[in-house]
Amino acid sequence: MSALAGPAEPARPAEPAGPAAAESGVDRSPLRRRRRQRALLQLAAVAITLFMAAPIYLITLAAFSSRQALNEYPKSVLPTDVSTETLRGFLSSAGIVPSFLNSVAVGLLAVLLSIGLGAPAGYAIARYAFRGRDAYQIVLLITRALPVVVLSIPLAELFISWQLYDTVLGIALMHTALALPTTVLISASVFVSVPRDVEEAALIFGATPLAAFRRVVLPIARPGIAASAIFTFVLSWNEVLGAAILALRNRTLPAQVLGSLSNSPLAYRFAGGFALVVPSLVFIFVMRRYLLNMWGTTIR
Amino acid sequence: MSSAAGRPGRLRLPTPYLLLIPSALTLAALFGWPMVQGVLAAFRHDGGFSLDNVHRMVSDQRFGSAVRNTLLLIAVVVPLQFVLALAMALLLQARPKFSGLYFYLWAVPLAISDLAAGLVWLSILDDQGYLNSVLHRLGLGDGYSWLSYQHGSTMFLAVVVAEVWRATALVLVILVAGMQVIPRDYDEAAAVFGATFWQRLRYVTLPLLKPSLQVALILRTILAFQTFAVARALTGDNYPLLVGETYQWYLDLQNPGVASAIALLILAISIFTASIYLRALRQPDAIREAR
Amino acid sequence: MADVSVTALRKTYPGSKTPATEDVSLHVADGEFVVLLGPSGCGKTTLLRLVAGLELPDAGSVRIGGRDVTYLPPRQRNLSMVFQSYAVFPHLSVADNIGFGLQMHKVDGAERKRKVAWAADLLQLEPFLARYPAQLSGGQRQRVAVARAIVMEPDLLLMDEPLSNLDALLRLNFRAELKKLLADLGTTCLYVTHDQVEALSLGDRVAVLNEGRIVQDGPPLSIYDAPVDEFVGSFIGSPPMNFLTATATADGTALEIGEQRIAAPSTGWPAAGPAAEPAAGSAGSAGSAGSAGEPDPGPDPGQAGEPAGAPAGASGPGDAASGNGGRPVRVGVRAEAITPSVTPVEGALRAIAEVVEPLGSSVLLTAVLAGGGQPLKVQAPSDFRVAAGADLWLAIRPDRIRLYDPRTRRAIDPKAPAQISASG
Repeated sequence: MSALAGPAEPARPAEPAGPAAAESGVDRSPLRRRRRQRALLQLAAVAITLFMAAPIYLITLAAFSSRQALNEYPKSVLPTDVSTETLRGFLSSAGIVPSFLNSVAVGLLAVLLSIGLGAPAGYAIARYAFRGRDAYQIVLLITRALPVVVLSIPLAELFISWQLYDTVLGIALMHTALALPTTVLISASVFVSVPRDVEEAALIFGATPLAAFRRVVLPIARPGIAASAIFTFVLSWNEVLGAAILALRNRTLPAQVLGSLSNSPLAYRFAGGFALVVPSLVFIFVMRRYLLNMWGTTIR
Repeated sequence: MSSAAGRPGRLRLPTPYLLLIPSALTLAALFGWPMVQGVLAAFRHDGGFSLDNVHRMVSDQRFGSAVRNTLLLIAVVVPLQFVLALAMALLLQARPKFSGLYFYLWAVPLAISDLAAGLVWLSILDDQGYLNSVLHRLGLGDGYSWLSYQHGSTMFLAVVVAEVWRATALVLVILVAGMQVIPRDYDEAAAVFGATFWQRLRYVTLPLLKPSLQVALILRTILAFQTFAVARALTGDNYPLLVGETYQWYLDLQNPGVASAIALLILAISIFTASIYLRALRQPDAIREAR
Repeated sequence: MADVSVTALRKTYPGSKTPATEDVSLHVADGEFVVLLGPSGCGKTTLLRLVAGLELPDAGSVRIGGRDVTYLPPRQRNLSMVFQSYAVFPHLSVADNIGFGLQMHKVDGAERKRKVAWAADLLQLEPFLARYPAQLSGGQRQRVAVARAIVMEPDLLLMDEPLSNLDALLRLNFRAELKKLLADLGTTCLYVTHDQVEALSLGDRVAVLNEGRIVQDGPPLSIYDAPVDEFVGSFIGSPPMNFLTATATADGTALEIGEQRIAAPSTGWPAAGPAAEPAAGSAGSAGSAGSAGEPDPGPDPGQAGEPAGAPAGASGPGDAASGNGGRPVRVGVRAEAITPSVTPVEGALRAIAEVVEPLGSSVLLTAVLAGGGQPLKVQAPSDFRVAAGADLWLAIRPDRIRLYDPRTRRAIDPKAPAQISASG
């Protein structure tokens, strides 16, 4: 990350020991002021981190508390009564495991479809100049900003007539539609970053365009495309509203949890929260290097 | 760049279009067509054009509060998030120790769904949740019913907190990405020419961040209009929001017509807000010309 | 206007093992134009940024106008800077850009306008005041950057390779314009560049840096004529100074290069005693003050020799070189100080012309010495004709030769201008 605030910030010097500090009249007070500021910054950063991290800790605690501990009041903020019974209870609840499997299936399917459809389009945008290129990009940006809710109801009606209602494929299709614009845009920026010269060199040295793509472009683009895949998976995994509307019996995990919220005990809800949060942590960890590329894409 | 005609002698159809068509078709089928249908469905009742759905939508007793709550939520949450995200981004820029770790931790909520966020804060704000437990142990009373129906303002605050906790990460990442693109030279030049930290922020950093701010604002506001599962998890049915109403009309009340009407309303407001942002944050052509 | 005093400045970037600047001291007098010159990574930009306050030193001090500014933020140092990338704010008009510093210092609108007009006039930017940087060419943006800096009438003007992003012709013209402008304004100026032509042309003084230290500091011509070590010699001048491995004869009258022999310079050897000419017999330390630190090759302390450049032969060729018998030396001579000839010349080096490059204004020859094979660059007049592979005779005036110690690579000649040492 580039450092911008206070240009002198990154260059904080080491404080020399006593004798050296007594140089001919060098005023070190700005240094001391700076150190105090840095300390305050750290404090602020820690405070924010606590705000972000504490809830995650607490939900984990709740998920791993025994039923008794959950019924207690006041609750202990420390892991005193660790047990897996809450989680086990949750997992064995009706429909949870199947919905979990559904989520996985939907996610994988959505990834496959959106990459299969989106990556070529991204490549086209990156490498070719053609009429409609800008228009297409603008359309993509607009669709990215459209509310899911407007889409899911008519889509549900449509799927009913296509017999896709309440199917894994149906939900996957909707998630593909949601993820496609971002996938195309990210793929485009990934391919743009692959130097054209390398591709052209491959062509000059006898490769067919497809071989050039496979041997030269793909290896370089793979990490970015992989990040895009994870992004799509996360999107699909977390998507609640559409999945709830598009399916009744073959629901994804969040839809299932949502549906049973009103008539489920607290323990179920806490365990559900935890089950939904854990994969997210893993995803972000895997994606941490691409975070900025993913969400920072703007119009070129 | 290769010409639109693709490589000579290979395919008759220009290559870029070939690559583009599958995605374009998919989007048209799964996005375009349903959108059109959705808009139409709002005005369809018993097979014909009618404003019946709209009437029923508006006359529902929960509608008023749903609209009010949604707008209020956005009016509070979005600015709050932007200030917080900006502060966090600036903090990261000053490169304190562990800034890499902080960034990762602060970005974690990106992958957390709003349902999960709601459940997480439920464990804290519930009557017997962690917050009340801590307050009790500190001797600060017997706990307050934060999420109760009777305490409308704290219900609202609970949703605000959960949303801020969850969605600030999105704005943060967009802002950090935007800041990274700004060359360090500008800030240094401003510092040399006399600007204090606040002056640098106001006259250099923020103006140059306008494109990112614009994108973040639009995305975040539109997403905020769709707040739903958070409130559901925290307050159940007691805090009506527009999307929640859509969900109810469709699934519980089995009325796709009214649900579509509400969805259309949400769409209209989203477009309206987006266009305001675009206009307000637009950069004059002179600046954009030859960047 | 103020003077600048840098004392024993040291800076190591975190994560780096070697210091970027090491014990650097420099004094810039009020109104002086000093150029920091060196290859990339030598520490010149670090030094500039330390003076600017964009970096803070680990040790040492910076004083501007007598005021200690070592750890002050840039805006409290009353200086201006022109950045290599110009850093002209894209979202402000040219007028607002130029007036930015004034605005930050809360100068009121009318006064600001007046000053902006003055600076814009100096740099011929009036027609562009309402435009935005995106609508300007690179050269024009450069002018905006300079205008923005001078409008502040700072104590000190810093410039970080401002011309390096301009194309060759623009660079040439603007260099001249800049020189005149800054001379007229009389601002104290510290200028960083890696282009030695720029350094020689612009500076009142040039400080050559290498690996975090100032290697030589002095007026451009003395840097050019009397480089203190081989690094400076080869860095300054195009083509770089030639260096040949040789042996000085026992009596110091000649230099043996390979199998050949040429006359040694008569000046600049610390005399060994009785062999010295009476004319050079005055006692006292040799050369200019501040030659402390020059390695003394001879067993005797130096006696006054003649100043470099004195007509050769004013004293006998043997006087100063005695006492250094049979020692290996490095012979430094510039390409233009060698006179090539296609016909044999007495006392000249025989060589073969390997490559002949007619450059228009001169002919650059790459010659290889006969019997030894050391290469040389020779600059010949533009009408000089020789075929590649033909024989050449290279006449070298002894007084244009500088001698260097092969081990330390430093000049043996005590006349070499002193390197600025600890005291400012």
